[in-house]
Amino acid sequence: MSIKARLLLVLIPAILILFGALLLLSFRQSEHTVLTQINRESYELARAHAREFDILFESSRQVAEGIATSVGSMETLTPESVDLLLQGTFSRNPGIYGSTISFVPDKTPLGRYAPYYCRAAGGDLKFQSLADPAYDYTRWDWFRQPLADGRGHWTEPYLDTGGGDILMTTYAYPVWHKGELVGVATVDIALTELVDRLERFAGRRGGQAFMVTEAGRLIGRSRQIVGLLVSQESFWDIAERSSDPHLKELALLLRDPEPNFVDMTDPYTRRPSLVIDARIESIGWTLAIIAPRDVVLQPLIQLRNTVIPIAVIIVGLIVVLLLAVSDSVTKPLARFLGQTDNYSRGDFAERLAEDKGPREIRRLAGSFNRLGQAILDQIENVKTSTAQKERYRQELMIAADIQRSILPRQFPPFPELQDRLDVYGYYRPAREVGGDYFDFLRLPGGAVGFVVADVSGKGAPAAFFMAMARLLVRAMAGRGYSPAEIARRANHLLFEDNEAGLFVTLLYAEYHPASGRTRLVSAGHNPPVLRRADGRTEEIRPNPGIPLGVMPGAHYEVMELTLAPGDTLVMYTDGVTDIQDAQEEDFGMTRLCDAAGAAPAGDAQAMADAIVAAVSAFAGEQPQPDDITLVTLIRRGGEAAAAGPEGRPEEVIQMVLPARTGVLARVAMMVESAAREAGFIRSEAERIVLAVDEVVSNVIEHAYGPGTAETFELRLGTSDDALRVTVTDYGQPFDFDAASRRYDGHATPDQPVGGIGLFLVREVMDEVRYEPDTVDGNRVTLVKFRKADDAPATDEVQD
Amino acid sequence: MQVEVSSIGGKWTILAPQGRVDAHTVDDFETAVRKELAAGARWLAMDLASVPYMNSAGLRVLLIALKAVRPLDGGVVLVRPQPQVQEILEISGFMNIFSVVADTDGLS
Repeated sequence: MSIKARLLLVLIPAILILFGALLLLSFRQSEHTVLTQINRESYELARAHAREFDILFESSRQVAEGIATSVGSMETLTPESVDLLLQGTFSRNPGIYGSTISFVPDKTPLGRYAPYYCRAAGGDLKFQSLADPAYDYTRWDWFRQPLADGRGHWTEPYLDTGGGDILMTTYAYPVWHKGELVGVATVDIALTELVDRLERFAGRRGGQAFMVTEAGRLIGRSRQIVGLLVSQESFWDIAERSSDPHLKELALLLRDPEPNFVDMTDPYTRRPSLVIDARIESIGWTLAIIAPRDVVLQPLIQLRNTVIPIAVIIVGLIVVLLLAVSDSVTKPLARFLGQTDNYSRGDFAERLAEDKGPREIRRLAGSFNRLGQAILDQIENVKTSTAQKERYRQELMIAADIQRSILPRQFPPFPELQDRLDVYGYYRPAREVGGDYFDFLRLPGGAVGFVVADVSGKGAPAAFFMAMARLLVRAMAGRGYSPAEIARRANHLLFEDNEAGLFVTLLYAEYHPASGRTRLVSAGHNPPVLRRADGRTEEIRPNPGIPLGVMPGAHYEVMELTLAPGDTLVMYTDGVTDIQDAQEEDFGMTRLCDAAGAAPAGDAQAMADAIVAAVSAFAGEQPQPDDITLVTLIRRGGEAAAAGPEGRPEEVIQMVLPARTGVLARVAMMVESAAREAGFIRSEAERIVLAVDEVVSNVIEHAYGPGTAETFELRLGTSDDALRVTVTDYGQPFDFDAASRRYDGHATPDQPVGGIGLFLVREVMDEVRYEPDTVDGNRVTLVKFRKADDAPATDEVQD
Repeated sequence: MQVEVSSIGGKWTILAPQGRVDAHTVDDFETAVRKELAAGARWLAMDLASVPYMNSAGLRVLLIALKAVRPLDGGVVLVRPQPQVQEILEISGFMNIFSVVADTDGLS
């Protein structure tokens, strides 16, 4: 139900009841006032009429008595004197209709004498003798009664047929003459006129008027009540007989000598009516007016007829006003409805006028507008944050690209070493981009390097830091630095310009494929697990250094171990050990060792997969909070003996020399010294010197243009079993293979003069590798393994 | 590097490098050889007794000398090579194209 309908439904009945009550009350009051007024007025009028009639009757009585007195005082009674008296009286009293002096026939000399004067039509005096035998006045009551009791009498009203159908009443008074009753003097009063006056009076009030004689005869114009002027039967008798309570009530009322004003039902018309009566004392009659109530209360009805339309109009106006007010409430609601439609369409920029309507509506409009603005602001915020997220996402994509480019993709990474080692790297980022990486490196001298690292932070900065750390480690490793030196230098360089305060924990393993010797350095990284070929596992705990990039001048210590054939080194990041199960328990070292021990041996990828499967099974549905990185390194081949007592670590001499031939003698000395140090006999040492000399000479003479002040790098790595020499230049690379095959060892006098040097190198060394354009330049690696029969003992003999 | 030059019996020109023959010193050796060739020497004896070390650059000079005298029916002999030089000569296969003598006395 609408507000408007509800408002109208409640208020209109209330107003109608209020108005109705007011009207009713006012009508009651008015009615009372009117009735009181009418009461007083009618009473007064009725009394006045009664008085007037009283006077008339009284004067008529006096006239009759005067006539009687005059006759009594006459000396002699003559017809002339009697006539004269009558005529005189008549003319002096215009209210009298007729008059007679009728004598008892045998008492006076006048004998049977009854002169009668009355007013004819037109007002002329008319004489009539009542002594007409046909009439015989002596028989009439009006004559006999006064004579009988010597007092005056009013007759009941009667229709005078003699004088011409006039309703009249007569006062008859005895005439005394000289002590004797000699006759009767009468005065006739025509009631017709009286009744007419009464009728007019009553008619003005819509009622009917009538009189009731003492005997109960009714006089009036009302045919209904009276009949023809005067009723023949006594009303008292009629009422007596009747069973009509109203008729009885009316009779009772009329007999009451007191004046009355009564509200009752008209016994004739049956309408609610008002009855007023008053006593005419002189004659003992009662004058009554009976008028219909509604007619009497006509003014009241008129009032009602005026007031009700006005009330209706007022109520109508109020309804219209209510409608307007309810509209003023509901129309703004429609505006708000429209506004919510706007909002639901996504149009939050629409604004409602805040200066229209009542205060509440204005405030609501303001509130709506603020809501719209707040939503707009919110949308703007969401857009902004979405844009930020997008930027962040793109940053992450870049970082992910960097990371993808960093992680090794080729397995196996060192195909030429497949019979010496098997390595596999597994990486699973926690989110889009992680902070972990791993790396595989070829090192000067034939060793390989493995890196597992965890960069603090996420996103692009961390990725760049990671890339930087990786390149630094690669560069240092490529220069042949020892693991500790690599960590020290990388830390030093990473610390510089590290405004973001990033750092990286790192485990670096240098692995010698031939011997299984492994040198480890940890920069705050998780200790690796060594899984022996038989399934036993142990934690390897290199001295944990400080993460790279944290503190300048940090030192790192190398830990050395030897992998026996079938042994596996498991390197990982804390994402493996820190992952939690539903009970928030860490995976931990013990489980990692168990998983590594239970994993199938002999295959690096299978080993990694088994450990990852154990981690995944442990974590179940739990989210992976950090990257998971795992590198498994298995030593392959080699004799078990090689895994015996750990060998001496490789000693490296590394120098950068000017690319001038003047250094050659010194190089030769150093190489020979290193070779001897490595346990080679003199002749072997000299052959090695030759090979290195050839390579270095080649670099000095051909790598650079003439007159340049360039340098090259010489690295001599000596260990128990081999000498590893690398010569790195930074000049033009060349086709080493082709150059080294120009001479095949069959000398002829006609042969070309070039190519001999490289032939010698290949003849002398066990391994010769040329890597042009490495990060460090063009690198020649020469390896000479010490043979078992090159025992120092024989060496002494030969010396 | 000094290269001592002498002759025996007017036929043989003896060149004796004094020290290592490597990329650093080979130019002196080569210059001396070319000078003698230019002077008409056809029989060259390379006295290697004072050469503790020689590399392929020295071999190259020996080959140049051999190539130069062969069309003139001349010859090149290597005299008293030290062990290292002996070794390189063997490895390089140059022993097949050069004759080695113990001393210059046998030259004629």
